[in-house]
Amino acid sequence: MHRKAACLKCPTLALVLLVMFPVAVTCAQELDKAAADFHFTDVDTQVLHDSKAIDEQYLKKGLVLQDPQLQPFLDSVGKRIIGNRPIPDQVEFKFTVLRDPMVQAFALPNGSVYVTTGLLSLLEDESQLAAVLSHETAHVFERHGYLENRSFRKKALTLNILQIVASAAPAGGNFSQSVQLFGAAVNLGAAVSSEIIVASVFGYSREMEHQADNDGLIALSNASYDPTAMARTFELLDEDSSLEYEPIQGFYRDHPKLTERRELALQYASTHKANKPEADDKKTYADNASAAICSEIQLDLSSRRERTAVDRASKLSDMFPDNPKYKVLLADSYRALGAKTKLPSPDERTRHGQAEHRKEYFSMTPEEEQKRLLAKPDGQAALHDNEATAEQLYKSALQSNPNYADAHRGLGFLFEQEGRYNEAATEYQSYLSMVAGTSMDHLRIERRLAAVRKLSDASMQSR
Amino acid sequence: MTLKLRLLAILCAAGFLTVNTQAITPSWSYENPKVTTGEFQVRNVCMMPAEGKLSKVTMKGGQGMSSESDNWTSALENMVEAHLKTAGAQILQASDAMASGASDEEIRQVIVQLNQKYEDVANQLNRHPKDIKKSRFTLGDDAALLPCAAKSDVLVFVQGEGQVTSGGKKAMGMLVGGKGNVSYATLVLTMADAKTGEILAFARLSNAESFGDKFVDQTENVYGKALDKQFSRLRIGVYLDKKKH
Ligand SMILES: [Zn+2]
Repeated sequence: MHRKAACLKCPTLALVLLVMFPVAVTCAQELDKAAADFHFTDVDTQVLHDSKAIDEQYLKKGLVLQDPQLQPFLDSVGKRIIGNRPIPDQVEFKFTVLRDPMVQAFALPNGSVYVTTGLLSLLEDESQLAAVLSHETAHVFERHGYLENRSFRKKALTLNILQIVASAAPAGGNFSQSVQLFGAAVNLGAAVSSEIIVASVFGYSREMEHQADNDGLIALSNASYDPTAMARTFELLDEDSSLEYEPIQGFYRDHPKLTERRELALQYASTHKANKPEADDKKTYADNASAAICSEIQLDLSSRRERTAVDRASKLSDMFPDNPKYKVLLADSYRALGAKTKLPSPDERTRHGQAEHRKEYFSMTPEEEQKRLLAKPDGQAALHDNEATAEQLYKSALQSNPNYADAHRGLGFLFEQEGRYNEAATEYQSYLSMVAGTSMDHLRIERRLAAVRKLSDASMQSR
Repeated sequence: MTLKLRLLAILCAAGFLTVNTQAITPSWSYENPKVTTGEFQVRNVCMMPAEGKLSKVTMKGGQGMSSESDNWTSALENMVEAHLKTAGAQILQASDAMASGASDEEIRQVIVQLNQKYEDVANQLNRHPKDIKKSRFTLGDDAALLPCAAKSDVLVFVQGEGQVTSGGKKAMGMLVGGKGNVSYATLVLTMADAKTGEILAFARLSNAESFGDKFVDQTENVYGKALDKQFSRLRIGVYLDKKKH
C-alpha cells in the first residue's frame, strides 16, 4: 500500500531504494534532518488535534481494553523501549490495547501507540512486543505522522480511507460499514482523520518504514531485548495469515514487505548483539497478555474466525494446562468450528479456494456455511471430531475444577447442538445453580434450559 | 454558438442533473411479518451505541470531520430515541449495567462482540434484505448477554454515513456530470430480537442534496417524518394499540 516512491529530492535513489535498503541512508539522513528541524505549523496543529480526537473516539466507543495486569505490562515494555531518549515536543507516550481482531499496531503523532488484541494474541514473547513498540515509537520520534501529512498536502493527494475500505468491501456494497466487522479501529479512526489512519495503519513511505525498522532495532538492542525479535515477529506475521480470510489487511500483513523486512532485520541482528539479552519467557508473556488473548478469542468467535480462535486458545491451554478457563475457551472454539477443519485444506489454500472462501464469507450466513459443509462427508467428519474434542476438553476442565460453571454451560451448548437435550438440560441447570442470579448469562441460559426441556419432553413422547 | 448561449446550455444541463440527483437513492425497509402483524410486540427498546461517520469531499480530496461526526452521531441517536419515545416505547441503553453484576469492561466486550456479529450479518443483509421475512438473519442469543436484554423486546442499531460535498466540488460535478455533485447521507436502522438476536427489521433512509447539507444539522427535518412512518409500520408502542382497534 505504499503510495510514494521515495524522497522527492532524490528521485534516482528512489528507484534504487525499491531494491536495496542500505542505500536508503541518504534519504534517511534527510528524514533525520526533517525530524530534527521540525517546528509546528497550523497544519501540524490540526494533526495533533485530530490525533487526540481519535484517542477520545476509541475510548468512547469501548474499543479500549483496560486490564489491571496487561496495562502495567504494556506500559513497562513501552517505557523500556523509549529509554531515556528526549521526548519530542507535544508528545506524550501512551500505550493502549484495542479490541480489534485486525492484526495491527500503529502510533498517532501525539504519542498514542495502539496494539490490537489481534496482534497481542499472535505474539509469543515480550521481546516481540518490544519489537512492535520500538517500530511504532520510532514513527513518533521521527515525526513521520506530521511529515507524511505535510507531503500529502504538498501533492494534494486525495487519499480517502473510504476508497481503501471500499476496495475490500463486497461488490455493490455502498455502505462502507459493511466491513466494520474487521478493523473497527481503522473505520473509527478514519472517521476522524483518514490521512492519519491511512498512513499509520497502511504504512508510511518506504523510507519512513525503513527508518522506523532501523531505529526500532537500535532501540530494541539498547533496551537489552534480543534484536532477532523483530525478524521473528515478521516471520510470525507472515506464517499466521494463511489461517483465515481477512477483509482488510494493514501494514502488518503486507507480505512482500514482511519478507524483505525480515531479511533486513536479520542482517542487523547478526551484527548487533544485545548488551545483556534476557531469556524470553513465552509463558510470562501469555500470562501478562491473557486478558487480550481471551478477549480476542471471543472476538474471533463473533467474527467467523474460529480457526484463529482454536489456534490462540490452544497456545494458552498448552501453556497453562491446569487452568480451566483456557480449556473451556479452547472447547468453545472447537465447538464453534463446527464442520470446518482446524486448518485450511490444501484446496482452501489455493488461489481458487481462497476466492471461494471470500465469496462465501460475504454471501452466506454462518448457519448456511455450516449447512453447505455438512452436505459433504468431510464436513460431517470434521463436525464429529470437533464435537468430540470439545466434549473431552469441557470434561477435563471440570475434572480440574468441578465447580467451574462455564464448563457446564459449554457442555450444555454442545449437547444441545448434538440433540442430546436431556443432558443439555442437566448441564444448564448445573450452570445456573453455580452462578448468581445477576450474572450476565443468566437470562440466556434460563431460556435455553426451558427450550431444551421442551425438546426433551417432545422426544420422550414421540418414543 | 455565442458564449452566452453556451453558458445557458451548461446551466440547463446542470439544472437537469440537479433535478435528477435529488432522488438518487430511495428509502426502503424490510420487516419480518411477525412484527408488522403485531405478533411480536415492541414496547421496550434497548439502544446500541449509535455509529455516525461524516466525511467531506472538497476539490482537494477527502477529509475527516471529527467533531461534526461526533455531534451528528449524538443527534441521530437522540432523534431516533425521541421518535421511539413519541411512539410510546420505553428506552434502555445497551451500555447500562442495570441491576446486573456486570462490570463496564464486560459490557464493552459484549457490545463490541455484538457489533461484530451485526457487521457480519450486514454483509448478507445488505444484499438480500427481503430475506428478513424468512428469518434468515440472526445475531444469535448472545444478544441476551446485555443487561438491558431482560427488559427489552428489541435491540436497535443506528448507523449513519454521510458525505458532505463542498460547493466547489458540487459545481464541478454538475458541469462534468457523475455522482460528485451532491452531498448524501444514509441512515440505517436495524432491529433485532433482544433475546434471540433474530433480525426483525432493517430500514435504510437515504437522501441526496444538491444544495446544502441539511442532514448534518437538521436531522429532525430530514428524517423525522420518515422515522414516524417507519415506527408506525413496525407497530411500535402506541401504533400497536391503535391498529388493534
Ligand atoms: Zn510503520
